Amino acid sequence: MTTGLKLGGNYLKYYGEKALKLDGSRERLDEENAKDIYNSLKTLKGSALKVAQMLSMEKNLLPRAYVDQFSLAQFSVPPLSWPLVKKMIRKHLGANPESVFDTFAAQSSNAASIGQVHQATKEGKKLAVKIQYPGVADSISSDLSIVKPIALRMFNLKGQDTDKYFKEVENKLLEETDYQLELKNSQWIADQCKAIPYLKFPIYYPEYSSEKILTMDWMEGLHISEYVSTQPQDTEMNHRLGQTLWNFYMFQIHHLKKVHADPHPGNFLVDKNLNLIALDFGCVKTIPNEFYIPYFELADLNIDDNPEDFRKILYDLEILRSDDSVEETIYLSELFGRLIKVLTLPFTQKEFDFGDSVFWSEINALSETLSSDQQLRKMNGNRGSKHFIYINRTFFGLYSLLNDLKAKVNTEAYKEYF
Amino acid sequence: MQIKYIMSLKEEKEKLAIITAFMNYTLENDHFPKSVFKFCKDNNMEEKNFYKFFGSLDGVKGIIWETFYKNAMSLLEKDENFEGAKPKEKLLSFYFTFFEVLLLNRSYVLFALSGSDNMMMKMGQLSSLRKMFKAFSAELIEDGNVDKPSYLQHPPKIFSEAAWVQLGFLIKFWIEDSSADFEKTDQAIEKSVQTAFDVFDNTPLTALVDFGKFLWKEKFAAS
Repeated sequence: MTTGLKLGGNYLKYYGEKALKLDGSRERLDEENAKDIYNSLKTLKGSALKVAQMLSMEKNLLPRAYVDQFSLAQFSVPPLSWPLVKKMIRKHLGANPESVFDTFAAQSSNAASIGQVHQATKEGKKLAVKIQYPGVADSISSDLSIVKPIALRMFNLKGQDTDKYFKEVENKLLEETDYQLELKNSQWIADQCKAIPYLKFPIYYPEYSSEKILTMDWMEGLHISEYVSTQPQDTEMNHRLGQTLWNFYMFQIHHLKKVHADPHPGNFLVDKNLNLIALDFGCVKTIPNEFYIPYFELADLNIDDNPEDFRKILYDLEILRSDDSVEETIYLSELFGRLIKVLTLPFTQKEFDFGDSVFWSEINALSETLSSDQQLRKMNGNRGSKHFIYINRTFFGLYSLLNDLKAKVNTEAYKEYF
Repeated sequence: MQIKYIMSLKEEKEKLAIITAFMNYTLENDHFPKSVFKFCKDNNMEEKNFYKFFGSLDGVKGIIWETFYKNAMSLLEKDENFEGAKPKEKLLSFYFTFFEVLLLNRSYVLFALSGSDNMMMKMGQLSSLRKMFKAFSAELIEDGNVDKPSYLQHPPKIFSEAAWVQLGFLIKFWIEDSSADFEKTDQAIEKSVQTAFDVFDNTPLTALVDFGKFLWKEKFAAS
């Protein structure tokens, strides 16, 4: 099965079911298979576990109970002690926290995925100081090599160049541990996006940051998921929030060709004036032209009228391989054609309603096919451009957030900010 | 009880200069000085100046470790929050600062402890460090005992010896650590102290599991 496709399929399935509030989908999974994977996975630790989870697209290859167990194990890391926090500040910022900042909270206020956040003040400004756990970067490569054989089996990857998928994930994870890079990305994207209304970013402070420490403004607001579940919903305002989110993403994808590739609810805040605040630019995906061009050509293409062009694009995107049989070629073209039609639906209309349950039930039906199809399962999974991994993650995350907001968006509005 | 020995600033400087010369001599020649005569001659120094501060060459080795300890302590005491901190925090702060001091003298430490392996912590040169560190940890244990019913109190004598063994483990870990910035030693300090205090406080052993996983990965699993 196509790795890119399969990853996408699992995302589809997860978000599709989530949007339709379906439960009990676990039972439909092949129990034996799940147990098998679980047994391999439970021996893993640290970032290997994180990677394994990511490759199995977090929820869909494993029954809920297993996933919950993993998540618990992963997040039960005790917080860094105050003396170690002090030592890290000393090492990276040159002096004890009390002298670098006016105040510095000894207790961390929350844990980020690979670090913890402390509140501080300096010259009347409230700051968030993110400190990375020691040893995170160091363990990524060795952890990944543990996951590799499992992933090869899970996705039926065959052939020489399967490494490209692992390299892609490894590079992205390593980038996430480089806070200097995150600071540069954040500042650049914030600056580029300043014309987009109702969108805010924290200010970052290079003088109080290093490879392992990142200091930014303390932002007040609710995570999108909290906002949706606890605040009285104003339809117009939700449309506006959704529009802001859509503009932000389309501007990045089509104009900057670099995108915040981690659109999960924890990375966006809604402030009291209903502005959207974008946080955490640890994972930024650059979209190269050789991927961008065929990918978005697909969106504009009428597949039924141009079967030849369509097939050519599938080769460009490495969905079809030259060693595929005729049956495989026909089968994959048909399947991918359906997938593309659904996924690009929002682009083909001037206005799109992400709360529309018809859209989500189509996604759901398709993902059902993707995850249960025996023929697909037997095919070589070493297909699909490596760029699919993070681009799919971005799109499905974005669609899901827009669904949470039940947002109706003008799909072309972003163009005026170019 | 600490014996206060008042030295003039000038004398203090002289003593430090001899220590520095001793460490340099050792590193440059790949061996400790073999006689006071030779050491003084090579450093254009009168023997009586040496004997003013040290009884023997071995005595210098011990005083070097003592100086590391005192440097760490004086850095810690500059932090106004240190005095009032809880025992666990004090111990962590001490370890982090002590290893920062050792880092500045890593070449010497590696040489001075080379080839000693399992017997390391029994070495003569560490005996006065041992005395001072055990006194410090015994104080922490007594502080920790204050609010506990007598059956949960821990005898300072036994537990300060355990702390010494822990310091030995950490020094050994640091010597073998090849991670960037020695951040694995930071983790080892953090996790081993958490674990020790879990045992000490009779709380559920979450830190023990975490420490065990870390050790397994660092020391036993193929890396």
